[in-house]
Amino acid sequence: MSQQAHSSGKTVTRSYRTGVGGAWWTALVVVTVLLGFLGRSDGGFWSGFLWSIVGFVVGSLVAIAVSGRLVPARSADEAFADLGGSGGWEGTR
Amino acid sequence: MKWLLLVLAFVLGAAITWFLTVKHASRTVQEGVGAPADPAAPELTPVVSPGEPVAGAVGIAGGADLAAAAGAGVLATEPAETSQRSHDEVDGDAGGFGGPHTPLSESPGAAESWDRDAEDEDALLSRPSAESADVAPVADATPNHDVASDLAPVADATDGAASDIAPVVDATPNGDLAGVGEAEAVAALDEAVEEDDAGSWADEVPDVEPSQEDDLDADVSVPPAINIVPVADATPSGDVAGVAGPGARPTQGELTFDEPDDSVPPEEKP
Repeated sequence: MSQQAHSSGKTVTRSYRTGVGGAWWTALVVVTVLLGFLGRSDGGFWSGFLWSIVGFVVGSLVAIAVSGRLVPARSADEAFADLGGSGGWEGTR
Repeated sequence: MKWLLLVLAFVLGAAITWFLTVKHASRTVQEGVGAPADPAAPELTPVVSPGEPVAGAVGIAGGADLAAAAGAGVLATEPAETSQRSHDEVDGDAGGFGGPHTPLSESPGAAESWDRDAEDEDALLSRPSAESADVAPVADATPNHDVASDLAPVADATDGAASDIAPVVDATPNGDLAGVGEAEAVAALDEAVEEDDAGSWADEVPDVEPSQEDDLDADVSVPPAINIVPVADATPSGDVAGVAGPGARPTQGELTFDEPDDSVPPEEKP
């Protein structure tokens, strides 16, 4: 969780977790296909493609586990729960 | 090369998943509100000083109004009465079923007056008698009379002033809670019903005797009256249709569909 307390603007930035969504599946397909083409010289397309799927999924699981440890908040409201209802939204990035 | 692809997929999967799942949000905090630099600050707990009213502690009026009312004497008599009544309730209703009784409501609605389960036996009490029982002990308060019994339920009414409200079960010897009436009237009504039943039995039993032709078990050596008469005794209104013979067909409180021509008006018959 990253926190930034600017002395001038009093802008606080918090992190929170969300679901992977459909973008993750798109990234999975794109990355594995690209890596399959890159590994054609070593065992064919399908070998590189399947091993890329394994690596991508394992890396995603590790990332999810790490984010679950480092970012406890699961929503923006939960991330700013200790600030109460004061202040306004500045943006989400 | 294969391991290189595997490691590369691992890194890409972890990075893409991280950026897809972890979002950042910014919020502008007003001056002096919140403590973003110190998220572990303890929560503020309300401090209540002894002897001072708590704002919002009692309904809408708040503790200040309650304290003002108590100081003006409006609530001066409430603590003594409440304490004495609660003491009596503890003594009288501690072992009772359902706990202590609730006091009568000021103006019972139609539902409470109708449903006897709404306020237990309090719903069966008539309002004038209950109100007189509330007032009388206070006016005739003697050392032998318990002043607090005016608010006690029916089960606790032991003094003379409240004895006009008899317990519900004693008011009806037959235990009929629905019709609270005088014991003499109920007893007379019971006797009349019993005599009526005895007379009707004497009239119906000879008619129920089946003839030898109507008995389906005529070939059996058992006497026919033994099987038929006890059944007729068990149903005085003739609910057992078809058991007795045609001569003993019941005429009271039964729907028979054996003869459809009887229900057709004469002008509609073909």
